[in-house]
Amino acid sequence: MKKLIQLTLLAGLIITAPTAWAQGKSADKTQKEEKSKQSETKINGEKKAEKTEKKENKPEKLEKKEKVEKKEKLEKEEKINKEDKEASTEGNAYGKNKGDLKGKDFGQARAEEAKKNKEVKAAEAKAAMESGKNSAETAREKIEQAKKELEDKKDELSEEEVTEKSQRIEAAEKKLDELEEKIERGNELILEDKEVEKDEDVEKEDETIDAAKEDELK
Amino acid sequence: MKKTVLATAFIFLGLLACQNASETKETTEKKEVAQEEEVLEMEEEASKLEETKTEIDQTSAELDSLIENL
Repeated sequence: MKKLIQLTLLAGLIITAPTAWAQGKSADKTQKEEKSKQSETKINGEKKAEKTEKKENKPEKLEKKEKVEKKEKLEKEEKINKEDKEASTEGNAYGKNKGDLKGKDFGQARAEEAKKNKEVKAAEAKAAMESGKNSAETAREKIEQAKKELEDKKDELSEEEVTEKSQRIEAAEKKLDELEEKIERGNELILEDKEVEKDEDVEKEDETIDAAKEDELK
Repeated sequence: MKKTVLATAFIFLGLLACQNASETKETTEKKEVAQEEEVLEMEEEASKLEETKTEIDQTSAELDSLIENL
């Protein structure tokens, strides 16, 4: 009988162990939060000390003015905060307001949203790159034309005009090079994305094949 | 004898259940972390793309104005 009681006690301990472990984790979290709060209060204290030092150096009239201004500011901020609190009591952080979705579904929905957003941004960037290429081509043609015109009219123009025009052409050429560089970088970025997506697709295919094989073996 | 065998079997099962629970918890946590990392990566890439788009638009506008003044 004694042995049985001992064994049941042992079993109870083993069963309650994971919950205790989980609670330990939450205790760690609270400790971390306390540490961050302490660091924040330290920073605030330092700021206050700096402010008092500054105050000591200022004349009284200025201090009074500043006090009145500060009071007004604080009152305004309080009003705004109250209005905000009344308007919305929900947090802005991801995962705070999950709506009807639960943890896993919420994560998947967020991932899908991020993927769609990325695709939209990629399409926009591509369109910008295309229009940039077109404007670069026309700019190159116009620069060449301006160079030829300058060569032809060199004798008619004064030295100042020639230097001004050549400077303008140079600036345009520099900007054109900059634009082409940026377009190239954008292309590289999109190509990298495509390569990553291809790798991910291959990995997913491999995983599905492995899963199918396992099912067959079972 | 039977009782002790039953009790040991019970403990063994309990141990197995605990191990299984901890393993599943670990895997779900790992999956969540991986998913979060993936989302963050995608968001970063999207912001990079947006940045390049705005840069290209800006420089092309600047180039157009320079070309007009040639």
